[in-house]
Amino acid sequence: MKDWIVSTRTFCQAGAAAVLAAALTVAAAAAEDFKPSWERVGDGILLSVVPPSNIPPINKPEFVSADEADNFLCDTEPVLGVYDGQVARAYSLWLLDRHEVVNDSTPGFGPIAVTW
Amino acid sequence: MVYTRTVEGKELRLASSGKLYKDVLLLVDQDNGALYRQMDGATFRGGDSRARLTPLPALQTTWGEWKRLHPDTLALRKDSRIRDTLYQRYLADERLGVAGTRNPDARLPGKGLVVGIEEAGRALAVSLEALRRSRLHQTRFGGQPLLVVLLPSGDTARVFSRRVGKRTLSFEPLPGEGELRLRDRETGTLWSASSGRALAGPLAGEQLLPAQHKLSYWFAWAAYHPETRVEP
Repeated sequence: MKDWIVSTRTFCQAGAAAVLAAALTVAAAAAEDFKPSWERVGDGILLSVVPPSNIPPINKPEFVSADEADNFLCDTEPVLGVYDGQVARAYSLWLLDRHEVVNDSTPGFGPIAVTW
Repeated sequence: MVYTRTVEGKELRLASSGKLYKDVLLLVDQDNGALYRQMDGATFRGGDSRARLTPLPALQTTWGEWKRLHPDTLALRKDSRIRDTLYQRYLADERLGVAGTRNPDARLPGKGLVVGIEEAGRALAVSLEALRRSRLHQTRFGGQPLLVVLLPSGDTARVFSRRVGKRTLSFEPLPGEGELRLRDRETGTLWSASSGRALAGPLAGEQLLPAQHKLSYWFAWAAYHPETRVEP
């Protein structure tokens, strides 16, 4: 491991609460004229929680090497990992919290939706 | 969960619908508004079963653990200001679902994690809590002999078929610290549990085939799969 990675890794512990609070404020403001609702469907309940436009999918995903990703991913950060027999890709769940869907394509699988 | 997004030859552009059914997200086709269940890829209101999204193998784990399994992996670029989950409180507390759901099935605690396996409409849940103690679980499901192994982080598991060629293998854990090693009783081959690779012995170089599975909260798994088997 390179030394500079250790020094940039302090972000893995610091500042989480502030970012979280800011993100929730934005979500609340955007949802102001939307009313959450629910209905019974079959043996379950369908909840409309937020307008779909609140959670934009990632349609043009960009990938970087693991070395470069170490600048913005913590080793303890949860990811969804996909291996299609040819390429392996990791998708941060902290990022997917904000987007929930990545419309991607891989050589082995073709068009895929990574969802969270 | 990862799905193919080609349905009957058409490439879909999917997004979050902002809706939950039984506390699990519904995906929306941005072109025609059709809804799909994130839990299993089925269309929300049933209908044409050919129109479902096909699940693909994926692993929910940590970045550190994924790099160990796939050192040449790429990663989706992320704004480095994003430093935590939006759902910290929900992940930590006992609340079920955004509006408060009751655990539909008392066999396991509602917020307990399970390794969920689906096969031809049947479902099997292996408790992660139990797996943390045993580190591996061997079973048969849908005619397939399966091996479920805890990964070193202790937070997730992988599922492999125990069939190699014409043989069905059964595994014993080897004592020792660190990465779990297994030995199969049939050939004496030594295996790495987390990669499913044969390290030494008659089957050296073989690779156990990964099987589809997902990590889920028990209450959501049980709501979608009321008839699910639970092991161990």
